[in-house]
Amino acid sequence: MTPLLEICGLHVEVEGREILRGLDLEIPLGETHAVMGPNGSGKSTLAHVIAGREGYEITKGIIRYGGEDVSELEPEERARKGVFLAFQYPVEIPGVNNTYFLKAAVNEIRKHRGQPELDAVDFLSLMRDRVKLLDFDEDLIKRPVNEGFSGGEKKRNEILQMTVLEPTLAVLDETDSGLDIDALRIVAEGVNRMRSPERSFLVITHYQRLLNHIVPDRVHVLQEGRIVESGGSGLALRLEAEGYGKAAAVTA
Amino acid sequence: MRETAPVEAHYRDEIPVRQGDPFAVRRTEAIREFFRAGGFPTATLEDWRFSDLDGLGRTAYRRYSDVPTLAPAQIDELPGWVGDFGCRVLLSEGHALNADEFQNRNGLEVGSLPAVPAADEPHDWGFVVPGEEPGGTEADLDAPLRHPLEILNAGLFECGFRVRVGRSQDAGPILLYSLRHDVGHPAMLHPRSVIELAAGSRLTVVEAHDGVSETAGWTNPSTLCRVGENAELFYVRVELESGNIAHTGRVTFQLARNARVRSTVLSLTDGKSRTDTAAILTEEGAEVDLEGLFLGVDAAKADQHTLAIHAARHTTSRQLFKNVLSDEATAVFDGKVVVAPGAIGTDASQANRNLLLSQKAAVHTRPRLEINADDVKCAHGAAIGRLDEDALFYLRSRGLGRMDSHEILVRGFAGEVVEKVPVAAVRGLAKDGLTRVRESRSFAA
Repeated sequence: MTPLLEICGLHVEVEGREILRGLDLEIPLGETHAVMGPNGSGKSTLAHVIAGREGYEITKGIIRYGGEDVSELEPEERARKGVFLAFQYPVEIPGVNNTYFLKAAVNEIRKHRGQPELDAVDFLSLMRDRVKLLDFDEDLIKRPVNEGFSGGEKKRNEILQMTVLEPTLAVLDETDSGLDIDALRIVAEGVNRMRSPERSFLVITHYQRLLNHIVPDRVHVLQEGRIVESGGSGLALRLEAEGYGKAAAVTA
Repeated sequence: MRETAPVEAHYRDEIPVRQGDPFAVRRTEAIREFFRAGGFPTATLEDWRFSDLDGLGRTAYRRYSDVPTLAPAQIDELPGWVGDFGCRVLLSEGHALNADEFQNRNGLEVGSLPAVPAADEPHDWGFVVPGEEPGGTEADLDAPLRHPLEILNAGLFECGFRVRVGRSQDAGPILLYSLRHDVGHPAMLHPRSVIELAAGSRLTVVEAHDGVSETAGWTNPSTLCRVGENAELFYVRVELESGNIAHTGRVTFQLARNARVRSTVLSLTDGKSRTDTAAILTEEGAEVDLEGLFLGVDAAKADQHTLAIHAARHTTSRQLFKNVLSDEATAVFDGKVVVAPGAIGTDASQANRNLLLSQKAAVHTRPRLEINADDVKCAHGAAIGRLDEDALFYLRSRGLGRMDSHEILVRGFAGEVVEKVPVAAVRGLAKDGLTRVRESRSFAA
């Protein structure tokens, strides 16, 4: 079966600097994979290039999603096909109401899927339901997007958006950074509830601790722009114990 | 004796002459004063550096009443949003269209300026005696009324609005609407309006200037708002004139003890405009919010000049002016705060934020603070930027299209001013303005 996400020999430049240098990665539908790596290894670049950020230039290689080459697609086209990126640093958008924004996004995606748009009543009841599951302060959804949110609230808002948009591939970019242990548990539970044979996750993290809560099917080690080692969930524990230096030595 | 220049002679000829006009003498004095003080301001003057008004002095504008064939608009020809107001004064080319609807009861007087004001009310029209200078070191409380174009208006006005709200009355929203048309020659309109709130009263009022003209036109309205003790005024000004109409407008607020004013100026013109908004906080506890939004497309230009004079203790002024500039639109913000000697406990803030959507759009921003007292809080800031790339990517990564994402961010930026406007019909006009921004050539280019 074709993997949901298939990245082959990917080279990516950002502002003329090569960050990814021949990265290969496959995620079958229904699986959760973790990519771990030290600072500067290219983790966030990988997340952004999958989501289609402008300014991330693919110089070689290919990204296939659902068997289709999506390398040239706009970010919104990828999102409508079911790609979701939970940002490491969610953006504050003054003057744009959270609910308004999310309703517009949901309806764009539903339109693409040929589903009828949700009206205000249906959307609000959907939101209420998801907000409760994530122990999210209901007042926050009435406020401008992420404005004045604490770090933890921003990350929870990302997961809230994910649960409402119901993507096929969710990329979580260091969602654990800046979270205390309670928030981490809530976020992880939100993700675990969504795991299904119809959905894949790419969990990008520096630390192993998130993977205690979201146990991945596979773990990949990213170093200097390439995957240098892959293994089962036990690999994360070994990295935690031995550090990234050891992994580099294996490939050297 | 000084020889009268042809341009001065032209404007003296334009003074409206009517039997029994109590202002007849003042009108002549005003025109003389205007030209004695230098005539049409030029860009060499500090206050007029960025205001391109040279054309005004070179064009021989004439009054509307010189056009005998002029047919005022019919009420059903007015734009639909005008119909949202139950209480309104409608002027076309300075002529009242709906005098039968004017209200004059329960302490509320709403109407147009009478052709000949009553002889016993000359002081109600906010004139200052030309040439008189303030003494001592106190702040010049009449500075806004000594504005050159204010003085010219005092000489030439022949139409305008009058609203009086009696003690403890609650009135509004009232629409004051002035429409003008192309009459085939350069025509000028100098409306003069007075809005008075007695102690403890409340009023929401919208002053709108509308019209289109291919022939050069000029609108130069003066509005004076006197806000009594504990009274509260919501003032919204909408500038909708388009084509070749130059707009130079002023609104001046005089606030008594514990009076509150919330003012919003919406510049939705595609022509050139300059608006001077002044608040004079004359007594303790007075509080004013001056806000503005310009949605500029094509070669539109809007200048916002503000002046907040803190003349008493414990007064507050907050200013927020925003510009969204597409295509070759240009904006000016020149905001001044004056804290008079002894005005301790003054709290003044001023912000000018600009969103440039095009390489060719430009903004000049200049905050000016004159603080002559201790124990005051004064903050000011200006920001000029483009749409945030991170925010655009964030929205697009959620499935929103490129154009929609741009639009959402622009609406969010404008919303900070628009959403506070207490009249839905006016918020609708701002939304139309935002649609024009979206449809502009440079949008998301």
